Amino acid sequence: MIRDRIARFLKTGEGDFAELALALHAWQREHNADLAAFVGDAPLPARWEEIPAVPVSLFRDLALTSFDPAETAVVFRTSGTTSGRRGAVRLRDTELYDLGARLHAERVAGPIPARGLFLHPDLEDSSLAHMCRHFVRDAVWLANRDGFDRAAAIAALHAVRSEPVFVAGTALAFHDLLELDAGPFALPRGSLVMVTGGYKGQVRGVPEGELAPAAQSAFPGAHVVAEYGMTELSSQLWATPIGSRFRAPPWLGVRAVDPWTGEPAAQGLLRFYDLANVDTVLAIETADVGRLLPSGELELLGRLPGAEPRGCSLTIEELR
Amino acid sequence: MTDAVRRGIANVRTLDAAPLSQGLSAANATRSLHEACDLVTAGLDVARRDWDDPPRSVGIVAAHGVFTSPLEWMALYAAAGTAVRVKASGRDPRFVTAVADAFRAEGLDVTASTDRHLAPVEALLAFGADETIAELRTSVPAALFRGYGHRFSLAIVHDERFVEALADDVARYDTRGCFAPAAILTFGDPLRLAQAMADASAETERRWPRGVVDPALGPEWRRRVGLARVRGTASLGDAWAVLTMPIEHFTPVALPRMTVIHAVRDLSVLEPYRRWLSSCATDDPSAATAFPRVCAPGQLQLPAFPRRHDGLPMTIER
Repeated sequence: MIRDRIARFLKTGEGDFAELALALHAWQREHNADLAAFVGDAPLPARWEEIPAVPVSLFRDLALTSFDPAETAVVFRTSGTTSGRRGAVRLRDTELYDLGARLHAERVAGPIPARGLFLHPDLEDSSLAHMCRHFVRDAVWLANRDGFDRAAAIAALHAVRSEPVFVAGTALAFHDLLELDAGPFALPRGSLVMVTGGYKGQVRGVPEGELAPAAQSAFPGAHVVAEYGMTELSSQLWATPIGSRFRAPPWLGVRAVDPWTGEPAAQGLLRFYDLANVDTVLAIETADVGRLLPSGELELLGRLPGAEPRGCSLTIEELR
Repeated sequence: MTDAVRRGIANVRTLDAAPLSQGLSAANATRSLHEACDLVTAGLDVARRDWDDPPRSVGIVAAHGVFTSPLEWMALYAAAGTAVRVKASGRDPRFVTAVADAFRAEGLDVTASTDRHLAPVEALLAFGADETIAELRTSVPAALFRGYGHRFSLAIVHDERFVEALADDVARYDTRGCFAPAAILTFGDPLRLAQAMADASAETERRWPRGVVDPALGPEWRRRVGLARVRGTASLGDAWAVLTMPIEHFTPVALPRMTVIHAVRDLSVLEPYRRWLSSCATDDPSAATAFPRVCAPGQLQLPAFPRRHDGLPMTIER
């Protein structure tokens, strides 16, 4: 089964990304009616880079499941900002998602502390919340549907004593926290601070480029990292430390393309080819722009100009 | 003044349109410029009639997109003897600058700039997004203000008799601007209409090739083509697309040389969009009562001059 081969690749590296990507795409064309119609009569590609990428915005309109939607067990929803319509990613289970998320996170960021302090809400349909729930044994959620509790966050961070913690939140939440100038928060050695998402043009104050040094100063002793993920992806990219380039796991192919023609570009619209996306579609086209470096690392450059702002960073903004 | 404006327009008409057109092909830019010049010239006398008390000065905040659009407003107010100060789009001010130069050469008081800070004016006309207009209303002091916000237009037809004219509406200005058809709604067979539109689009593309496209539209272009393949049909040319899809996927934003056809039983789908409706090209005017402007297919991007623009007069009284 393709799912087993991919799980093995994630765990052991056994197999070849290109071969698995082409096999998964072929399998999904047989099992995903929306994808089959999307690609039409295009022949099966010979190279993984030629696999047609589905724009993430289509998750608002189509199920895009590689299984009977009636078997859906988990639904993650996008934030749905300007359009007012939220995309839905349906999964039969989160086995590959959970496996890949932890494997790559621990490879690049080290062990994840078992106790979590989260600056975003514990929403059932949030992939970010799901990942954080999966990463820790004990979670303290410092935001709810009514917003981000700054006082509680400051108190909780200052109260951390001996046991390392995993602190996670959106860039917007960290921005708000750092603006209060209530640090530094001296976290125990082994603590991990994860900043995810960008500002999406939502805030004034600490410029986005200054968030990384500000966060590192605010959390002395902790390993401060950045994570890039999205609802439509089962895998994530990490920048360790924050401010460095993002690294994708071996099961996630990344391309930059010209936004209009789709032709390869050193800097351009980002397309991802995620082997862990077995339940949906392997290849997705984002509305984010980045630069791929010869090392394979990725420099994120923000949203495609003219594209609507979206993403997990806006979730908490919308709740206010 | 009117004669000076006519002479200015005649000079504008001789300009090389392509570099001024914000990316249209040479053929499309030239015909668009000529059509716009001819329409304004023909309507100048009528436009001046019944305008009792024009402002002494007017600021015009022009939007990017339909490059000839500022011409009619500049000509209208210059012909009234009004001092015209145009804030051109910083993305490409060349056409507005060229018109201002041509009018000034005829002794008219017309200037253009990309400076955000407009000189004090008695009246201000603003074009653009509703938020932009709201901001201008509060930030620019002017005794008289009128905003023309973003709107969208449609075609509503029963059958494929008018596809050549509709393909022309799609091709003009590469489907930019409020008068470009965001979609065709049909009470007839959408597949027959789509096939006829595809043939007409291919022919129109040969005569009036598409120009430069904003790369940022790529993901949305692919979303709509992909959605049509799943939920409807898609016919694609090198520089055009004709799609059919169910009305629930209607998007009130036109893309360059993309025709989206929705079959409808009635026009109740338009109710949520009523305040943003601009123009309707139709073979059945009785079906288009919700629109401020109704015209024949082929005339969407050739609005009469003068007119009520999106339901508002073009002239402003002191």
